[in-house]
Amino acid sequence: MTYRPTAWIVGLALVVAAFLIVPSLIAIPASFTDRTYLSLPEHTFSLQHYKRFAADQAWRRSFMLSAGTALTAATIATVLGTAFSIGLWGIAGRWIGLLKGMVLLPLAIPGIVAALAMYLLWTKLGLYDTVTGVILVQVAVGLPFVVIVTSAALAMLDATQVKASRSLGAGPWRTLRRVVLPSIRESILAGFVLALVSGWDESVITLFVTGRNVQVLPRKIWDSLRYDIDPIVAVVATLMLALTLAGVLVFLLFSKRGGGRPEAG
Amino acid sequence: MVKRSFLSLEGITKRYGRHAALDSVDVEIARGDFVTLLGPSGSGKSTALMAIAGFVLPEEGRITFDGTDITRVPPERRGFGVVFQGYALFPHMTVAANIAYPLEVRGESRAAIDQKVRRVLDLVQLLGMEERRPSMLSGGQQQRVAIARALVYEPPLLLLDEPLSALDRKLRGELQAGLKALHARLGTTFVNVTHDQEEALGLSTKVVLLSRGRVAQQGSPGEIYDRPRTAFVADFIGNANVLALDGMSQTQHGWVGQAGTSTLRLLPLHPVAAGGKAMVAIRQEAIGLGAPPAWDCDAIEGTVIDVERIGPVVRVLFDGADAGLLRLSMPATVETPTSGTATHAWWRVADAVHVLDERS
Repeated sequence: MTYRPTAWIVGLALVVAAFLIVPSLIAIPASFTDRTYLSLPEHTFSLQHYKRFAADQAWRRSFMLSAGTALTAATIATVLGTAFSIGLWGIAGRWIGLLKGMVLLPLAIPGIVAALAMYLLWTKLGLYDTVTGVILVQVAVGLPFVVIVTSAALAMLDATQVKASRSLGAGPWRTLRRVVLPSIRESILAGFVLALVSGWDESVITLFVTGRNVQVLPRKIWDSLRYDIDPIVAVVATLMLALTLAGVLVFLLFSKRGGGRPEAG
Repeated sequence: MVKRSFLSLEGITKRYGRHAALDSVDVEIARGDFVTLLGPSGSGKSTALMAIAGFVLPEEGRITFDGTDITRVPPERRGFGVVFQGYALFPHMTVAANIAYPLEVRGESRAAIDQKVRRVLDLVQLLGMEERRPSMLSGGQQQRVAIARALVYEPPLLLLDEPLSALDRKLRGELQAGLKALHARLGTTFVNVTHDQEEALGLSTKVVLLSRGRVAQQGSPGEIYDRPRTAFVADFIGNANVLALDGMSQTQHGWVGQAGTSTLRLLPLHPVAAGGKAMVAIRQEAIGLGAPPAWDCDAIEGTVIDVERIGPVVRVLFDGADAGLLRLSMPATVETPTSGTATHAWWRVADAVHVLDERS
């Protein structure tokens, strides 16, 4: 079936895309402002706020903390999610379906509901405003992406390859390492990138489970906006945007090349 | 030389829910045999092969190999070679890496691996293909890589799960010849699974015919073809005619029975009761048309209702009225009968094999 969109449809699509994207792009010119408060540049583009960001200990620490928690959480989510998909690979049944549904639940629950729940639970468990607490939140947020992408890749993998490997003398672990994991390598990487990006900019829950101690970027940005309107916020937003975009590009690259199916992610 | 039992399945039963995929299966395989597990789909032939390979754990019975019970040994410790349906080559590895895999698993040195890979590639005539990916090979080449991978570590037993079913007819013929030559050259014991009776009869030294999880008959291809034990075997192998006789009675020369109004003689191979029923199977090529030429022939009267020439053979459908329909197969070199001719269909009494009334 071939379908050629008319000029009207293309125009409409562009308008919708612009509506979705342009507001977030406003941070980019704002980060180059030559004034001292959050605004668009008046006379010239200036890098002064980038310099200030680089010099500011607190912002740098936030940036590193966010990067650190996101990387740690994405790594954990990738290991757990991949193990989950492999464990349930090719098994069907009511309980299995329930289990899969539970892992994907964070995608469906409204952010604010999850945030409230996490806030109450984390306070009880003593995880409120701790790095561990933030990492656990990001793991939960990233896990569904890893599960979706890796189980889609496994569904494409011929299960007799596992039998072949075992008939050739390889035990289950070696078969996992030499046959299963290499076949879904691209999808695991894509899942990792998606988990990284989603953890990196998870804001709602993060705001609820952090306070004064754990100043990850969303927390720090929120606080800065509340107490003053420092244009460094625009700089940070631009950097976050750039990094997220880079992550998405890496994901697209991998899913195009390898076994990962973009429509499933 | 006395062939002592090499691989044996004793009373193997495997159930899936209520359905018995294998129902008390006994098979004896001697060293150096080329055994074919033959049967229609759902007969349990692949399940039997997978039980030998170690992927199916039977609920009852045991499998012994060279005198050792291997029923519960995991597949990776059996050391057999398996060629899977669809070949299951590793797509992310080259041909050479696929074949080297079992040797690496066994911790062999790089030099030994390289040498063995080259030797087996030479054996299956794929030298020069080392660096190709499986996806770049034709179906026949993939099959040869799968065979090379399963043979490179010199397993005592090679298991083949419908290795030819995915290929077109002409290629299948070539690869059948290739398999037969390989078996003759290596002397390795082969166990092959197929639903193609021609393949089974052509390749094997022994055929095990399965039906609904049971062994219907096992023996050399000649035995199974010439002496089918049941009506099912006679029909499945060579599509023989099966005639039902009733009113069995013993005369001074032997047993006779009625197929409709025709009286036919029977050489009993199984118990027969006076007044009871019996079945005979008659091969298509054992039947002639016209007046019966000798005293040791039986015949029924009827009409030729269809004649069809297929290359070198002519297939004739003969309506024996109340005795039933008969299918005949004769070389196209003899005079071809015409449709509508009223005549006799005859065969030598020795060619009518007494079979058991088991239709499946």
